[in-house]
Amino acid sequence: MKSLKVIFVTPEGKLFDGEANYVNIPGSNGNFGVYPDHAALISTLQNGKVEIATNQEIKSYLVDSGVVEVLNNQVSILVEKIIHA
Amino acid sequence: MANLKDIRLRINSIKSTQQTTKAMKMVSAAKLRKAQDNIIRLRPYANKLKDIIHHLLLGQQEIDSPYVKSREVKKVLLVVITSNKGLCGAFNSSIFKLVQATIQEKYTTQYKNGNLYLLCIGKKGYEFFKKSHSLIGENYDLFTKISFEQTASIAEMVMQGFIEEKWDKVEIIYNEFKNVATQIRKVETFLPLEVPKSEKQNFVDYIFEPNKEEILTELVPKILKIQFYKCILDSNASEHGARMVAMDSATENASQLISQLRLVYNKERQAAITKEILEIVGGAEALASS
Repeated sequence: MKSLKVIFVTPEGKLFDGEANYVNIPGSNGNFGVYPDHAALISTLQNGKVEIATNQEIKSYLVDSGVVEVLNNQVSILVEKIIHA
Repeated sequence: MANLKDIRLRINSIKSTQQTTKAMKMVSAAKLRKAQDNIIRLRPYANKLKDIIHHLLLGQQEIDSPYVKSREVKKVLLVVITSNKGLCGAFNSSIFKLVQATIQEKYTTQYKNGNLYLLCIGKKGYEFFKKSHSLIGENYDLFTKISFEQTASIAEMVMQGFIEEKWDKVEIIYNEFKNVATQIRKVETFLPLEVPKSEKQNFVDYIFEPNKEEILTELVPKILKIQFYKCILDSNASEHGARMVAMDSATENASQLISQLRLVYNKERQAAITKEILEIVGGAEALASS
């Protein structure tokens, strides 16, 4: 099965950098999930929970605002501040 | 020749100087590690953000953002980032030279017309330029305690001035941190935001949410602030690196001086002893022969 390459960064450093099965993202127009082979997308984030599902666990982070880019199974999540891990 | 006591005093004073420089080196090393961590942690974020902006702007003919529009350069603002404290080698003076060279090369006319402004971050630059150039604001002190909020507020002021056409171009002059021993002096264009020439083959048809314009209005100020913050962190790490190297060589020089002086001191001491012995022997001989 294909997987996503996810990078999750803040100005304070990288929080996550690795493979994931899917990602849930609190987009400005509502929550959405990103699975492998998702179309290219750029979206801003709103207050909500980012969830990164790896084979072992689901990591979730509460974020305030940010931006996400999906391109060729590479997901880059940029967040200014993590409210709660 | 200096007498023994003088030499001894000099050796002692050099020793205490050496202790100071050594301590300063240690302090800088500790601060450097922290500063270096900060800049290294920020870099992936800053680079990714830049990538996204570039992707966003690729293939776009008209970019509708006030920060991107370039206009005729009548008024220029140079942001000069130096340190608050000295004793860091050529760190500040090389920035001064670069500022002067930049003005000479690119902005002679603006300078003559009085349309060149400087914004100094760091006390050294402020003191150096306050007599000769028109400065914006006072000395902005960011380095005592670096915070993103404070940096962002200055960046916002610069951006506001750009929109109000107080200046048509903004460049930042600072030391980029490469490694402990190397700083790269850099002139970086801050505003208008530089957009790479669109390469058609890289064009990707993105889905934009909520829409392109809103993403742009949110992201462009963000990347500008991050870029500004990055320059500050870079300069801070460079400063500590430069100071560490300067203090290291000062300590080294002090050791050399001490060893040279010690040699002179010992020679002198020996000469004095020899002289004394000769005098005693001479005296004894004079007594024996009488």
